[in-house]
Amino acid sequence: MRGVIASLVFLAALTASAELKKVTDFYSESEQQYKKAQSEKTFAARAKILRELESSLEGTLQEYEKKNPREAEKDEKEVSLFHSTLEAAYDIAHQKTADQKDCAKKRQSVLTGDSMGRGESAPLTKPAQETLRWIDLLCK
Amino acid sequence: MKLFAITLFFICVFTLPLSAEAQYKCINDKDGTKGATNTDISAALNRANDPLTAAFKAASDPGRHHLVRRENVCTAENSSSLTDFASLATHIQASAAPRTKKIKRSCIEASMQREVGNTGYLCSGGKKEAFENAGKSTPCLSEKVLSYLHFALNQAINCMSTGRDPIDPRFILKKINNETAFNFFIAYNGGVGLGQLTSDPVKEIAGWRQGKREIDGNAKHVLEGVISSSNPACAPFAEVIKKEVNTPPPLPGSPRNYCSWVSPGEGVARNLIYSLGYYVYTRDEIVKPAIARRSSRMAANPEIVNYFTLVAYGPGGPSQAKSLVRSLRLSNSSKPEDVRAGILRNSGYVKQTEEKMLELLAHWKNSAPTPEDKRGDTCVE
Repeated sequence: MRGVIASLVFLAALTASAELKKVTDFYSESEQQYKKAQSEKTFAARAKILRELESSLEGTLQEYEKKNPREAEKDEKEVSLFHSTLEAAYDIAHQKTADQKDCAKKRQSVLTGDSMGRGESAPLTKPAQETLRWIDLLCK
Repeated sequence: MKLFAITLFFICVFTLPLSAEAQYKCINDKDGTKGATNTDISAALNRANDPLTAAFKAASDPGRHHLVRRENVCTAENSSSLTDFASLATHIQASAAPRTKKIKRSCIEASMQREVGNTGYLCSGGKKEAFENAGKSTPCLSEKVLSYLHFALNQAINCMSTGRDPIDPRFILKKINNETAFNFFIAYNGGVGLGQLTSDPVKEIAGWRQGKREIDGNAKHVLEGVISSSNPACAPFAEVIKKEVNTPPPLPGSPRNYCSWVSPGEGVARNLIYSLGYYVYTRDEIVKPAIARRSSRMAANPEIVNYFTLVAYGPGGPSQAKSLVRSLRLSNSSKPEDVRAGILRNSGYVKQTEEKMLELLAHWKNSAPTPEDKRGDTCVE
């Protein structure tokens, strides 16, 4: 009996201290999903894979929110920024087809947002690069 | 005779500079610490003959214009296009324009005392001349330049408030004070003119050419709204930008196009419309819906919406603003003062904007700023 209780306490402690995924984990996940999507031939199949990434990010952010109900900490903020930057690509992934003009406009919205507070033609940030990569894949 | 000559010499040496100074008081260097002497920018405004400057001149001296009414549009008897716009300006008060508060002239003047440095551009007669915006080469701006900026900015705020939630001028004052302190002539790789525009927000509004295709900007309707507006405050701006719905303007990112965005008159008019246009687009179509997804109560609070809109001008842009909405756990039970404090803790851009407002206030009054001063309440009327 003591052994069972000790195991349960150990498991509970392990769960509580389990770290939620960080932004670097999501860049890796995005890379894997991107490669998977690259091999798909239809827009619908590629869009489905991006929507899976969206669900994964959203799920983790909800876990973060449960963990820190008052305000996000650094790790969550980084994941959240990546997620909100990807919104432009999610919007396309929720359409039935990829309209080329819509794709160009979404692309521009990413470039405009990323240019804020930075000089003309500044190199793109990592969330913006990843988002544009997805948009280009969905819209090809 | 010798004594007379010496006396005459001293009179000339000491009184001529004084009389020149009295004649041309530098409104942006009231205590003389900058050492501003160059009056070229002020002279360029005197020569400007665009619709906005004409409207300003008419509003400054309405007695000179004899008006007739024709098909609900006020036009001058002398019907050149410039005087048409000039006459429109005199009727703005009586128009159906939205009621927006105005930024006080004295607060713009206080902002102009701040040192912002950078490279300035004198645009006149199709020529562009760069100068260092510091020390003795700081332009000496006249009372008229201040009055012009006061007029132009309040007109633009009124125009861009048509058909949407009115623009809160306090936030625009803080933003321009932070970006340029009303040095409308400065330009560099990081931003051009009054609103420090770069090419991307301009493309976002006016669209761009991609190969053989014209792509509409996401916020093109903002431009179309100005052109089709029945608000007379929009008329001079509409005249300046009317062709840009079909042909995007020269992008501000290229130095060869700087004058289209910084010249007194047309450059200032264009810069104001695109700067405020991007502001209302970001506020109404990106930030407010993102807040509403978490809290209808917070989305209905204009102060909160404006603060998050300012966040969208810092690194990360609108994505950062959306992310912060989540990070601060916005909900219907959030307290606005806590949200504001959270924004200040998290956004370097907003924090800088508030700090620069304190610099403005230090030039505006001798006593310590009150909470109302810091909010900008006392800078609008």
